[in-house]
Amino acid sequence: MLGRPRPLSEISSPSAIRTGNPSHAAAKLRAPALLSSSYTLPFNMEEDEFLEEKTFQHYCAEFIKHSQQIGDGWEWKTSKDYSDGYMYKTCFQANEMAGACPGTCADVQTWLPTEEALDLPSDDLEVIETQAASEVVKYEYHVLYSCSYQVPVLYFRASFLDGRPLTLQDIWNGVHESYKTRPLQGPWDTITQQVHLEETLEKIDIGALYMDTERMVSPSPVPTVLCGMLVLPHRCSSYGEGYLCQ
Amino acid sequence: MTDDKDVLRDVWFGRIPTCFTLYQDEITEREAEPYYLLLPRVSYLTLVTDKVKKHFQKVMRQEDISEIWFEYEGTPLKWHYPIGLLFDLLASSSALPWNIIVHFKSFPEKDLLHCPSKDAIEAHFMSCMKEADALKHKSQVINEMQKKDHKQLWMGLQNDRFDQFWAINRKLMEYPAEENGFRYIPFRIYQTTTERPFIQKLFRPVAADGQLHTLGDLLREVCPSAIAPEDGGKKNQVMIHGIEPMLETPLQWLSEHLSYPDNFLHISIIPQPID
Repeated sequence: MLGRPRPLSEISSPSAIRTGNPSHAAAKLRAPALLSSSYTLPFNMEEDEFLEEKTFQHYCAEFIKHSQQIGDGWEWKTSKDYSDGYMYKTCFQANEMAGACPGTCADVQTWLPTEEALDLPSDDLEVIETQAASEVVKYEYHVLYSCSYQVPVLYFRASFLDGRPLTLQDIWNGVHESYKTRPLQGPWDTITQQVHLEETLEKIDIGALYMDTERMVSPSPVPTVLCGMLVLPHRCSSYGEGYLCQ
Repeated sequence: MTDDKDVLRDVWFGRIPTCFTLYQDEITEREAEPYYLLLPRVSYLTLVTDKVKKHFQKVMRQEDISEIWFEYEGTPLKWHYPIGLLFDLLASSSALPWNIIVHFKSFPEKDLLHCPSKDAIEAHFMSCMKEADALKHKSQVINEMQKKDHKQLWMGLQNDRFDQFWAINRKLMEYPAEENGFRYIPFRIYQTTTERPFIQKLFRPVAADGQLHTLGDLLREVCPSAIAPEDGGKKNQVMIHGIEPMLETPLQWLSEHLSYPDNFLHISIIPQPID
């Protein structure tokens, strides 16, 4: 009998990472500082159509150095058995209902209502705080290098504080208004689930970011910065659907 | 001598006799009989088990039913892996039929993707095809196709229509006359004994001197422990579609003939069964 397969329930993998347009959450990152830094890439993008993995790693190092300077929370994670790694960041945010304006990505503490503001007896406040806590969503971002597409890929995972993942429907609903057309037209083309090769274990799903390059306007700091630093803005159009996403 | 094209048909029409049994803790109104089915190796569990679902739901109350999931010997089965891969990796040394347990409760969130609809399967399948073509042709062939061609690939798989599928898929198996093969070979190597779910790397089918790389060359390069005898010469089996191709087989040929419909070679490395 072949070796008993290790039951996957032993693996402490967190729940699904989903992909997609992070604009609504990304806007919470301190974009202006990142956008305004001038990164001049030393090579000529005309010649290098694809991004080499070593170049990707080099620019990630620069990105993280800058992130540390402005306190933006990006880190580099390496894998034990191989040389590759990825950029990583966690962020908390009030869960939006469909159509509502995205909240600010802030600490849970500042989001919870204060006693004075609510003017309620304390046991009522407890109930509200429990509800509020379950509405806070934790976003994790991973930026890795796809050797298949030879471009950087952005994955994200959204879950409630108790570990429950957001459903795909929640994610689609949470996309910022200005980006909503694309997911509404073709939700499965925009945000999908895939499997990410994580350092330790079989994580669950992640996916490739669809970068809607026509909408690369300023309040979308993460994609633009990634584009600006790792891909180059004027070449974004060549990194459209064919290269990124599925 | 078998024509190479016959290999394509043999791969497509490969079946695994399977016995589905309801998990004993599921609540039923009367006893649930096991359900027998021949599963297509090249398809996906949630695409071909509607009849299984119906069969068991007949003996259950509506309120006891939520999302179906499958398990083999304690391991939840990933629907997004092709059926043939799951069997080769987990059950190929066991006697037939393949015994799968059916669950309707306690979906293992941490281990499995949800499969809310057939659209989810289609999205995953097309995503794999696009990635394969990115490796083979820098996505040029798949991007030149029309939406209806993509649809035809999916419908061909869904409806088990070999000719319908290959009418379009043959274009993804072509390469420029001046080359000897694809740019890179789409492959994934699976082992249950490692933590990493699979190995996937860039690998060219042709060497700098024009020689065709073989399956053995690939394994020596990306997964040497798989074929090197470890302790006292305990070898592994290298399995694709239930067979062990010779390590001298050119990788380009394998990619053209033994790929799954998603255009990937899904290769299982399994311990040699103890007879």
